[in-house]
Amino acid sequence: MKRKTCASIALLLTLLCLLLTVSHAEGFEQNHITERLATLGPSFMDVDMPQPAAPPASMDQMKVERVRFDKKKVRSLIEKYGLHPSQGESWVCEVGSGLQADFELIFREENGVYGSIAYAETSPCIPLVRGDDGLEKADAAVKKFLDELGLSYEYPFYQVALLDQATGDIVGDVPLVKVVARLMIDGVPCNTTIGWTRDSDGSGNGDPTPGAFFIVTTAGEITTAVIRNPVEVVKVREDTTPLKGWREILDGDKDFIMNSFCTGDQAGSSFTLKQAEFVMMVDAHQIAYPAWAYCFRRFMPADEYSPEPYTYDMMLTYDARTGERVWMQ
Amino acid sequence: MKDIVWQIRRALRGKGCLFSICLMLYSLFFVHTDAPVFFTMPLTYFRKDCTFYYHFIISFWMGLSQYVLPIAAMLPLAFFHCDDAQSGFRNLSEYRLPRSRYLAHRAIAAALSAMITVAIACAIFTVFLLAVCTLTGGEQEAWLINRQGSAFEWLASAEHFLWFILAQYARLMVSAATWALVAVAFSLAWPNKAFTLVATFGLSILLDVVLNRRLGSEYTISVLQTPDLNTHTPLTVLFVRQLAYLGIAMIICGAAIFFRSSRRVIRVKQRIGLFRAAHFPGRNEKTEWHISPRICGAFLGEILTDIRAFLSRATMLPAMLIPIMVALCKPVFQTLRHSIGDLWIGVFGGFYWFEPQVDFTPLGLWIVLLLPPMMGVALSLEREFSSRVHLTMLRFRTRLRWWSSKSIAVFVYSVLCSAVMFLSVAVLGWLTGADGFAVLLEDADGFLSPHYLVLLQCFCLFTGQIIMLTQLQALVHLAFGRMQLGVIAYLLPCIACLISYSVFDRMGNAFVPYNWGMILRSDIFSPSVMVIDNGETSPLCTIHVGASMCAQAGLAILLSGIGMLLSRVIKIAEREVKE
Repeated sequence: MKRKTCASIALLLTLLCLLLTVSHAEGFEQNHITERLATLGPSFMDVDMPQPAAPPASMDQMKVERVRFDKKKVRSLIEKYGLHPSQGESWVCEVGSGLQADFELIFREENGVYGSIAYAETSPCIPLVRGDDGLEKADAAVKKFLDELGLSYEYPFYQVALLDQATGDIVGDVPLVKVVARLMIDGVPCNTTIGWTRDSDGSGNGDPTPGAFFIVTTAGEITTAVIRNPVEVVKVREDTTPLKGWREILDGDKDFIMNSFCTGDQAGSSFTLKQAEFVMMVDAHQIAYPAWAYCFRRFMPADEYSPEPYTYDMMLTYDARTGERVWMQ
Repeated sequence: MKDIVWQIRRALRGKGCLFSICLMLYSLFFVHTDAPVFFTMPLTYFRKDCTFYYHFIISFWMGLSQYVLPIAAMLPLAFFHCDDAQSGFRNLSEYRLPRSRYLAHRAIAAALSAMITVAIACAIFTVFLLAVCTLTGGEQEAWLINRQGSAFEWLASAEHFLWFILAQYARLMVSAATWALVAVAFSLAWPNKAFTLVATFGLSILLDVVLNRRLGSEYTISVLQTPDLNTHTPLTVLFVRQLAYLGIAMIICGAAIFFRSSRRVIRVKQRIGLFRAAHFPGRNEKTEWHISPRICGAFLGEILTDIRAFLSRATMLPAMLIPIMVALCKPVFQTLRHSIGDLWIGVFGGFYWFEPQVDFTPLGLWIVLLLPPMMGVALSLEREFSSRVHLTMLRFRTRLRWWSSKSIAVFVYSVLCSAVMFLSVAVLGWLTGADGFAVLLEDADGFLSPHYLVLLQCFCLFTGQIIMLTQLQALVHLAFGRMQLGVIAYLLPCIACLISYSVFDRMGNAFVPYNWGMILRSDIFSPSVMVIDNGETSPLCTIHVGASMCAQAGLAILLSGIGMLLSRVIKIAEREVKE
């Protein structure tokens, strides 16, 4: 009797395991895309990423307006969450400065003592690793800072990661954490790069898509805070233009990508799409528009300039209404 | 050899050489003209604080040579074929020399005289600097010290500065020879001064834009003649590139001489002519545009006759082709989606204010765009001021009436020329799949919506600019009786003002007439205020469309009126008629 019971339980457990495995595999099949999109000689474009969330069928036009920060409040927040200056350091804190019109806040050490970041992120999402005390403190400090500023942002943050030591971004013994926060427009996160459309102004400034970039010590002290064009929606106008899917846009432009980046000196290089995200961007007229941001991992073979093959992240962004390319980095 | 030397002497004694030297000197002094003290106390300006080395470098590197050199190279002798063909001297000379040698000798003389003229201008300027500036302090001169590590490292020192000067002379002289040969080739294709001037000048700008895009700035002729002082490319390599361009110009000029003088080619041409005459007998018959007998002899009839004279294939063809070339060089053409309106604004809207560095590419393209109407007016007035003047003037009751008719014809021609230019860009847009006509602009709510009125405003401003400039050209042509001076009056102040008065935050720039024709500099496209610290605003330079149109009209009427007054004073028929 006992043996029968044990056998029955074992059988049930086995079936349960089998069921779980099969269902998980099906789920993986459904939620992950792996396929080849294009080839050109030895070069290819692959897709290897989770299925992106479906965008809405259409999106209203949104006129946005810059949120102007209260200087006193920002300075007190910097005092509260920022690293206290040491002797010999030169700190700058510009709030709503006309000299860098796209940015509402620039707080940093001028000589790069606490590292430096580009105000554009082309890599895929790097979520916070729970259990790492330094990362969690940095994450919490930025969250409190943004909460007290009253901005609408995506949480968990897009990237919370240690700055790469190999690039020399860490000075002395202080480990630094990079935090990339995506500000939101109408509940959709903004892209991590600016755009470059024909509406950009004549001096060559790109369209200032909102974004927030931080460098924080593992003790939770902010050493760099850059907030580009924080906005709020002020007017909405109905727009029924259907939004294009990520696949439709990429299919339309893959030949251009292959012919531009996989020929001549760059023959043999390849693209692997690691992430496609539906995001918002803001143009030079302060009008928000939906876009698709594609993060590719690019493989470059060895050549006369680089004896070893290498890889890097590249981002291409397209207007989701028109399919026009609006950024390439 | 004797013939070449004689021709060089002819060039150096001519007025063209003098004009050319003046132009080059203007180009070299240009960079100093934004300092008021240069005009009030020039000697103090050159002596105070700055060394000879500093003044020499900024004068040659920040001058107008990019635009002036092609013109300066043409003036001494490159129009010889136009002059000799018009006067009939070419036919007489064939008794003494074979046509190929006659052309080759003069082409060589044109190149050499261009080189000598440029060298004379540079030498005069250098001697002036040597006389007024100090030679001491070269060791501390930042413009020399900062060349360390660049290809100019050896030359840019007080010790070797003589070689620096000679190398710069050589570069300018090679460029001058190149453009002189190109101009000779153009004049052989069509012996017409206005065409030669416009074609060579236009080519110099378009070639710079195209070579910059395709090969990089260090392959453009303008950069090769004044290379970047921080370049790492060996100077010999740059000089070899310049010589390569000179070689290409020689080949082109040689080919043009061959086609003009080869008996075999002439025979083939004659056969083609005979074949055409035999098989298409009506082909050469001109379509006559008859004026109604009712207005014949009336002022309206006289004006219509003048307008008819202005509208020929030679004057309208550049108006069709040049805007297309400019459109193809514009970034708006490369954007994925654009309308015909976007193309119009991109091509005829001008360019934004500089902030503050001068961008020479849009400036050059704008100047190219202004060439077709200038060429048309130059061609037509040149014909009017030739020996024809004795005949045509008799048909008019007074000199005032004669010039009024010309002035109105220039006005009508300018409007038609502008319309043709817009039309040709529209056809290009239509053929390349442009999407409608509308331009997207912000409406009252700040959203983008299609606008059409702005296109009419763009047309009016651009046309107004052309009318203003052609009236000025016609006035100078009338006053001095020389086509070249009219052309220079049209071009040179325009280039100089667009370089000197284009900065976005100098409010006075809005009052400079050369900025009035650009809709991209109007309050529709250029913001009138800038947010500075603490949310405060600072005014920016913009032009108001309505006010600009009125000002353009006023200035054009004023210039035309001055011309009419002058026509009563100047004894045109008694002038020496150019043959």
